Amino acid sequence: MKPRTVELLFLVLAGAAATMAYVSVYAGRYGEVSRASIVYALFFVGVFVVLHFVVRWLLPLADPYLLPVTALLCALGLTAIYRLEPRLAQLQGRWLLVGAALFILTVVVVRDPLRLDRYRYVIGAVGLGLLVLTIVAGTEVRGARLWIRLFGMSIQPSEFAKLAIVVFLAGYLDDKKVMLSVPTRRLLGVPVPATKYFGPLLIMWVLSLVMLVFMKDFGMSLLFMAVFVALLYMATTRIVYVVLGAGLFAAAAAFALSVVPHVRDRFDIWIDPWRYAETTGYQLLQSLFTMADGGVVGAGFGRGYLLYAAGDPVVPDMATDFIFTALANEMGLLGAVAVILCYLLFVWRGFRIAVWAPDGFSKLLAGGLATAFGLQTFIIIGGVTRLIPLTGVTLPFMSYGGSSIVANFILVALLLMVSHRTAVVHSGDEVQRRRLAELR
Amino acid sequence: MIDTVLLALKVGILVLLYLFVWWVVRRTVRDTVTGQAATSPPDVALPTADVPPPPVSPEERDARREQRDVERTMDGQLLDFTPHIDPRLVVEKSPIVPPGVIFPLEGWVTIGRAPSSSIVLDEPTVSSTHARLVTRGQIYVVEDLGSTNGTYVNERAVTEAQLKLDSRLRIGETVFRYEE
Repeated sequence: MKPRTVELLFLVLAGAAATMAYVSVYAGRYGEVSRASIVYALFFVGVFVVLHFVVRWLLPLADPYLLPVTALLCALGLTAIYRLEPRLAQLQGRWLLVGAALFILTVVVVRDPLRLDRYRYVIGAVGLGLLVLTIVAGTEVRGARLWIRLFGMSIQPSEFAKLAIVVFLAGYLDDKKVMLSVPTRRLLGVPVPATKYFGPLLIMWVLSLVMLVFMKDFGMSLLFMAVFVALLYMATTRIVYVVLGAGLFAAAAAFALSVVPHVRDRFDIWIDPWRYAETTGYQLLQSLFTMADGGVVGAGFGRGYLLYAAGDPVVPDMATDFIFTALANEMGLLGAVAVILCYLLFVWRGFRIAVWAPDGFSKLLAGGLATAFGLQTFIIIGGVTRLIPLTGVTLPFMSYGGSSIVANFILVALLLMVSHRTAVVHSGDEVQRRRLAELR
Repeated sequence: MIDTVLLALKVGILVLLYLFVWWVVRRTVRDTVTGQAATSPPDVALPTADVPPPPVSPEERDARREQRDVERTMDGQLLDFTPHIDPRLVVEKSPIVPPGVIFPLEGWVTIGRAPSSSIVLDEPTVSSTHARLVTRGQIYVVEDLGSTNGTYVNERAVTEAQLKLDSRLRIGETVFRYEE
């Protein structure tokens, strides 16, 4: 089967799941099966069919599973948001459209990921600029300074900075990987490369430290540092960077714990939420209770106990940070595991794309994006299940939030472009090869 | 009634989700095992189009190999003065150029990372002007142009060496076989 046929088949499957979920929520709330929910589902499927045809037109040999997995995750997220607050679901639906539009724009404008490499310093500077802008002009929401107010909207620039910095690092490290992987001397008996090549590592470390102190956000800081260390490791295959990076980040985290009260609070809640059950630990505890309430198979969409009689969600911020809790409640353990499996599929495909990529830049780009996506998912799901301290990063494609969904659509577009390039190089498809060569 | 519908939907969604995951996993594993992309034909930007077909038949080449014009220099080095017909470098192993690609040699040829080189090897371990192949009468000699990582003929670092039939020339991580 051709990749696009496979994609369409899986999209149909995802569309069926989406329709069932919507119908279920509506029926659970109003006690009837309505046409409105079907229309809603059709709108959703329509968006992804359009994306499918854009991919069919411009990237016919791209990976066939990423788009269906994305559709499935978006469908479940949108359903859960609709379940909690129908008003937010409408907004999220609009953001989905914006995301789809930017997906198309990215594919049409960029076409070949290698072309991004030419603008690597510009892209890196933009990413850094976005972070600095957030620190300087950002507004604080619940203690973390991650948002910028613009035209009445809250934008989270770090989501876009994440993409920009991965693109920059992929290009930069691909160039410097040989210098970075050849040890020139020993430090405490460990062979290490020349000191000057540690510069970027230190800069990234300082950047993540600055983010930790000024944005007061542990999650984004961890994400940036970990993605950087992962890329360094992928470029050089030297484990010493992972050890050093982990050590540096641990030092930074220890420092932040003693200096930034917000980070300290989050840490204390993680260690013992019951001590703060009436105050700061309330949210996390409610999340744990709600998940446990779901049991093995859950109450079913629209039937779980997620809203108080007054209409407030039982966990504050359920549509954004705690969307996974809502899903775990209504779909149960089985559903929650399926959601995590879907995220794993996405990351798996991402790494496969990286492994097969024909050149260093594409490899690092795909690997970096897959790492960022997987880590972000881990950080937030780990947070709401109290595996690690809770921090406010979004759950990709599910959490309510425009910046996140738009940025992640661009991420999918980039991965698809890399996989298309790989397939063209490996397949011997002359037409596609010429089309790619003309872009250079 | 509505409870039955909801129950059916609940079960249905779970079944669909797991079917989805199962199918993707199965197909991915199958791709991995059969190694869909394991064979790698030429890359996009290669000059494969203007490669002439070898004008000499394999039998003819074997015959020529029998009767080579060899002389020994005073310091015991073996020189081969057989006139070449179709000198070329064939890629044996390379991280960027697919194996089997043929670079025909004509006159002096430069190899390096610089785009102006006759043969461009965009590898990090290749210097911008790495080596050149020069003709001396009827023979080709490779000269290292002060490259950082050296030029190797049959895995020995050389500053200057004659390329004989089936010599292995390694520059960076790319290995060429010299044919004539």
